[in-house]
Amino acid sequence: MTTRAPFNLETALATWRRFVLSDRSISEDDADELEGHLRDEIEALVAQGHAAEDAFRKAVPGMGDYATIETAYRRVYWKKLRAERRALDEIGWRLSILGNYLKVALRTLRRQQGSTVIHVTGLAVGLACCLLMLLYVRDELSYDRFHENADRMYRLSAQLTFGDRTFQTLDLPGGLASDLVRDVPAALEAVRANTSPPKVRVQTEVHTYFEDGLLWSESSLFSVFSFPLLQGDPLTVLDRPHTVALSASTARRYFGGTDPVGRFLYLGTDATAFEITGVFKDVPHNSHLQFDLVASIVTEATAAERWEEERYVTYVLLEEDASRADVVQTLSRLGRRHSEAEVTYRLQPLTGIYLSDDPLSAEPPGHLRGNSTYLYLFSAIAVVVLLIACINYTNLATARSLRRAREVGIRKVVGAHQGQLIAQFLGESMLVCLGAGLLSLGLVALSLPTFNALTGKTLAVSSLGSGSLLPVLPAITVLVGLLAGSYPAFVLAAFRPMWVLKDARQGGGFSALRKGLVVFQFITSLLLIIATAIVQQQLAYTRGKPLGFDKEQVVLLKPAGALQQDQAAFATTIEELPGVVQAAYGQIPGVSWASLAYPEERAEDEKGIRTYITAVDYDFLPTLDVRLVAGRNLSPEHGADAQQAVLLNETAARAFGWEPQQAVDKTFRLANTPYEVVGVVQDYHFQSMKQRIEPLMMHLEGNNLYRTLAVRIRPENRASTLAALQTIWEQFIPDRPFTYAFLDEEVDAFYRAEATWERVLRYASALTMLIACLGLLGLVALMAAERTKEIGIRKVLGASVPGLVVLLSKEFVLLVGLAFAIAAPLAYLAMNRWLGDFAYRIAISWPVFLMAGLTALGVALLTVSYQSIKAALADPVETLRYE
Amino acid sequence: MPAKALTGASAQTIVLSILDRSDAYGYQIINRVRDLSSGEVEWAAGSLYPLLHRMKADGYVDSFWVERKGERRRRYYRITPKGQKALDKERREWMAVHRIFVQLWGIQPSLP
Repeated sequence: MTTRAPFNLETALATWRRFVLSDRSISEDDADELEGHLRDEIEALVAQGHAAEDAFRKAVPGMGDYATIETAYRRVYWKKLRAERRALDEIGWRLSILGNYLKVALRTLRRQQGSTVIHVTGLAVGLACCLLMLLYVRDELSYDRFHENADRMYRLSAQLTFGDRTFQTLDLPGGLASDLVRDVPAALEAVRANTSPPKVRVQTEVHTYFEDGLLWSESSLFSVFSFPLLQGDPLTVLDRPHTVALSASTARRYFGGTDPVGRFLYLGTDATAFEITGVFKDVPHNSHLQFDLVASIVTEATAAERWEEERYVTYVLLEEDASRADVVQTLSRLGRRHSEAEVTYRLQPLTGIYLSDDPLSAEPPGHLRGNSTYLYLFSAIAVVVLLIACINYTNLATARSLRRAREVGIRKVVGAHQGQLIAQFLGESMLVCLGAGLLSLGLVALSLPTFNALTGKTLAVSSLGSGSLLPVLPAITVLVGLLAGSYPAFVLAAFRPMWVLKDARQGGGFSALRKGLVVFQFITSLLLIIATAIVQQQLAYTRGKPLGFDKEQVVLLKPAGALQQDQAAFATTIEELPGVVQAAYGQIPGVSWASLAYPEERAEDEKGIRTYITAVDYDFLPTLDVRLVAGRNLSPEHGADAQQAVLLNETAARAFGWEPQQAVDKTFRLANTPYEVVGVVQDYHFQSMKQRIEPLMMHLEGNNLYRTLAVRIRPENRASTLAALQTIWEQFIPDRPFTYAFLDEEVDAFYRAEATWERVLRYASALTMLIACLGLLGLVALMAAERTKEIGIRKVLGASVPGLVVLLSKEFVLLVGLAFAIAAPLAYLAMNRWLGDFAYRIAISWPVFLMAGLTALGVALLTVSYQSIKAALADPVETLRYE
Repeated sequence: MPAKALTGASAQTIVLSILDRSDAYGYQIINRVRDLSSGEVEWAAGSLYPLLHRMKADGYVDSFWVERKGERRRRYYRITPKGQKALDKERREWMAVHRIFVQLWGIQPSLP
């Protein structure tokens, strides 16, 4: 207990005056005036018989409380300055203070290089991630929005119901478009646009090209969509049969600088002449519909107007405020007029096509499809990484703030306001953020190529500077500076000068929050690590699971119908190569179509079995090593095989209600044609592992229209075998480029999206782990600083270094443990959902969690140990010296 | 119960009126107000001084330091011509308001 000094009026008045004067808006003269007033009041009270101390205590409240005086004076301050013509001095003074702040800030940053580097890199990494994701998300969301009428345009699809199965299809009757515009008032215009299969032969007078981007469409493509025509009349450009429009770059490629309009192109294997009637601007990359050439759809005039030909992708432009439901209803009525089947039409908004989660099995070739899951995932990662970077900054800056307690104390004693100090520290935080922002731009530039490879985008750094993104970086920087800097700024500014100058450590009160932040970071890291591991396992499983056929050493050649009569000769010639084991026609992997089949016992009106149908030749089973479980293979010795013999897979046999052995010699009908089962093959994964193995029937293709030749080659001398294959190809199919693929790669392509996922997750988990460790480093540094003296005393009392390291690390083990306890169930739930996409999947097992937990713990301990060992080794003579 | 707050509308006019009679320093002004209101209106120094400073910044009053022997330095306030003009205008308005209240409340003016 301190004893109170006797009251001294002059001391009391001096203290009071100092308080009043601590605000700059109150000048010495003002203070004189106020003090004079106070003295008058006290004298009057003393004259009334009060004691001096009593009088002082009574008079002071009458002066109004300190904060009120201060605000009142500050309100008139600038006015007063202007009246007294001192405003300029004031501004100069303020700037000089600012200069001092800047000097102190730079000095601090330089003095604490280590933590500055951690701050700036941590934030820069966070910002860079955020920017990358922003670029990605903006690009994904920009699809098809460049069309002027984008919000009124729709793509039509139909839902067909056969029995209890429904199909979505984009292939609509050719007559629908014209009937739609005629009969539905709200439908202003319709566009049919069909993409061609890839590698269409296009000849000019000089060269032959193989094009992937051929579209069959009509003039309205250029008026309804915003694909500007550079040459030609948008109203009539494709109205005549045998006309074609080119993209500007294609025109340049074909004809150099010369005018292409009026010249001719020869399309297809039969080299039909098409007159060039227009040149359009290259289709932007963010259009879901991609094409380089548009041929007039009226070339197939008769078919285009018929309702029987269901193969036209149709877009429609509606009136503003048109009711979609009405349009759909009228459409369905139109459809019923022409078709027996149950058809429901749907309107898919143009801007929603790219990111739609439509159950539509696949987009037609030339239609790009994005992935909304990626969009959400990337946005989430961006926000989380940035958040974590902010948290770390907050932690590290708070830790550092302890070391600056004295500066704060001195500043306060010489008259700094809390507000000024907050401004100072926020300013410092902004400075760091500015540095981080600049660095992040560099990081984005460096990582964009990798990021583009990962996401299949062609993003450029320069687009950061374009339009809506331009203000984003500064805005984010400022926001992050405020967000990350405000906590330490307020904590620092709230320091009591008395305490800090007496070296009483502060800051214990907010440690729960800081720990919470670190736990949050580890939860994120753990989630990502577990997710990465499980995705990896699932991918390894799908790649390793026996497919039921041998995918290794198989080259796929895709003549796609170009061979006609030479088909057999082509295969035979190839089989004679020394490097080739065997070759067979057949579709693998993937299957083109499915239809309803009826076992002989069942009538047509009963439920049919939806069966995938694929054409194979006699050698398909041995070439791909697909096992026969009952009956025999298709064989040229049985003449009737070509007409009606089929092989079923086990699933199909069971679906028909037969055991594999019984199925042989049974018959069923498909499209009113009877087929006879000659054999049953073991189930093999003809589709991806996401799908169950479905019923499959394999038959011979009588019309030589096989599309794929599977060639099993010997593992040695692959290069020369491939070269020999090319020679044979060029001999048989001179007008097509030699293209081949390896079966194992094609199978792998089923999981391309998942493989990208895995890579993204791997990067993200490494990144979050890195950032989390930076955060941990800050926390440990803080804690070691706080407990320096405690450690010193413990050492003096005989604690061992290992004992101290354990003491200091124990808490962090608990934090990581807590994070694990929260992350594990979350990860389990999330990954279980993800695995739900796969018909064949792994079970989530505990070693994954154990591994993730141990990894996090190990990395955390490694990070902590550096600081804790350093603290434990410190000489107590040093740490205790000041006490 | 003495009203401590300087009621916004009247405070400036009262200060101007007091200074119109004679120059005064802050403590005097507060005392005058207390006396004139028979102790019913008690101004706080903390609000008076900022008001004086604002009036000075607005150019209604001027201030000067006076040092008399045996007394401490005091800052006196003096009304400026601009302040006079403002006071005249205020006075007219207050009188108009005054007449309204007199008639509304039926008060007979009593001669001193």
